[in-house]
Amino acid sequence: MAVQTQKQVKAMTLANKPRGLGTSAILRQLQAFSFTVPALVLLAIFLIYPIGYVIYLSFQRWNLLGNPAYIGIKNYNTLFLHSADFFQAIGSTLLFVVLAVPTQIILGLYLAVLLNEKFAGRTFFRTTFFIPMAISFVAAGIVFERIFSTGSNLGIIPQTLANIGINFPDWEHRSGTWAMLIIVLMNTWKSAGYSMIVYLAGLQSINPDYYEAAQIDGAQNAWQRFLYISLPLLGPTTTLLLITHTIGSFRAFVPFFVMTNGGPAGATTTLIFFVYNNYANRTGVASAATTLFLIAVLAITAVQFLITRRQNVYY
Amino acid sequence: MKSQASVVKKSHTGLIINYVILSILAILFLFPFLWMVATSLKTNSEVLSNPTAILPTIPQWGNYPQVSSDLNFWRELFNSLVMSLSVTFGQIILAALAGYAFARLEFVGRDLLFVIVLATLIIPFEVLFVPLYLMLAGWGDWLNTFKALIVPSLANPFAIFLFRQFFITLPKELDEAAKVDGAGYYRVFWSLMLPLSGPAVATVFVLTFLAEWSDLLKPLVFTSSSDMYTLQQGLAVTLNRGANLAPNTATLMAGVVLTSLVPVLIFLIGQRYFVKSISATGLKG
Repeated sequence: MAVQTQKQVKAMTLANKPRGLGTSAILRQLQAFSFTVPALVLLAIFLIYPIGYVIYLSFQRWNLLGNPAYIGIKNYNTLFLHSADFFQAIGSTLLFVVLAVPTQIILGLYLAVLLNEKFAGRTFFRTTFFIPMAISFVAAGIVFERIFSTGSNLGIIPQTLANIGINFPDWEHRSGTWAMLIIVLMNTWKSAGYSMIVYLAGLQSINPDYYEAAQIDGAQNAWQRFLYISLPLLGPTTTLLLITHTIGSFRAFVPFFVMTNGGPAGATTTLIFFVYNNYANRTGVASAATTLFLIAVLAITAVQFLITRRQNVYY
Repeated sequence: MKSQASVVKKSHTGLIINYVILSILAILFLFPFLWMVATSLKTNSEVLSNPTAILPTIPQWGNYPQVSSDLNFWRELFNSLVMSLSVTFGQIILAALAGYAFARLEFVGRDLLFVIVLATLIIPFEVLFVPLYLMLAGWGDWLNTFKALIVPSLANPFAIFLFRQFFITLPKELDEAAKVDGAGYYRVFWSLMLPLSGPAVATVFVLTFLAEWSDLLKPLVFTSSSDMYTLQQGLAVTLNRGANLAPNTATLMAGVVLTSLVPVLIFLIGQRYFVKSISATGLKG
């Protein structure tokens, strides 16, 4: 009885499969396709079309009044030849990337190693390190700015240090480098939890037999086990995190907007901040900068693709 | 599953050192939160005094109603809620529909279209905000409305990917049995697949709601009048810049606490969905 029903099910399923050019087959396919239409239409209008539009705009001069005027590569010329602020923005962004990416990843890895084994209170600690992800960069930025503030509302850290005779650098008004360091600190606090979770998953998926084998082969202590087993096996995870955080750091805007407003003297105006400053009155230039940013993102993603391809050969 | 711990015995001193290090780190990580809440209950002169006391002498609960009016809190809360909830539910519906079709239905070009959807994952909003702003400006009455805050964010390729992955894991017999009974695709989806997709719905809800609630760039660019501000804008723009270059730190912290209550709550409740979706990245490597 059951076998017959199964055969019936199979027969009916095959009958329902849209095959051939019959009207009912076409109607079924259209109906199936219709499921995707709302999402695809919105994707096309709001994700795909704007890419073409911004590239087009990068070759125009427009300040929102009247019509755009074609000016060839003049915007790119302006960026590369006449914009000290653009190069400063690229410099700040690169500095941020170089500082922020390794710190997040290394701290995340360290936390993951600490939490890799089961012990009482492990969930509490894991949540503690992860919860900064819940609040916004606006909130985190404002809190850190206040804690470290060197302005008229002296923050608790500079105040405490001043009381014991240490002069905290005036990162809000004078030192661009220190401004970047404070922002990186906030970013690390906020984002290390993400790397921690990714690494935890990676660590827990490592076959414990490897560690046994390593012990037999003479690996004496935890550090050696980590160095020779965990770290290499986490290679693909590390690559993925490097790429994700690099792209993420290139996109950074809110921390700088909220903590220093791009100062002091433009030292913390990143690429996207630069675009934000120019999108309304120098639309063509902003579009050119955006196009360059897009190319950078695509290049980094392509690098990730190639590296991951090669790494996967081993597994 | 055996863990490293069961294979290698850890010494007692090792465990104690672990706890000490973890406790120190935990204090460092919690400090900004604790400082935020403590400061929100101080008077501003307490905050500025040297040396600053750790706890307020008398909790200034009045800071909260104060910042509510400075921030135009209720209106901004409304704006944030409308935007975050609308985008979240909209994304869930659209992505569930598309994800189901990509996972279970067959039509010409299905796999190619899915590859295109995946390709759009690369595009960050920072690339889009300039052209989107100009497009919306050109469409007349879009800028500075909820339409602008909601509609452009409804298409989320990652959500589509999540739903597709989820529907693929469901046994085929389920919807095939329903189709045998004569149910059309929409019926199968609505009465069978969608109710089953709880985990996927929860995951997209947590991820998207938190992302929308925390977002500053989109509202900053698409809205211009303070009655359309979201909570994040209220904090970043009204309270923290312009005329308020040296705002009252205590009330500012009260504003931060108010803005962070909802996301922290949602995060704590929906943690496992958050963690699960992130962990999957680590496993695939």
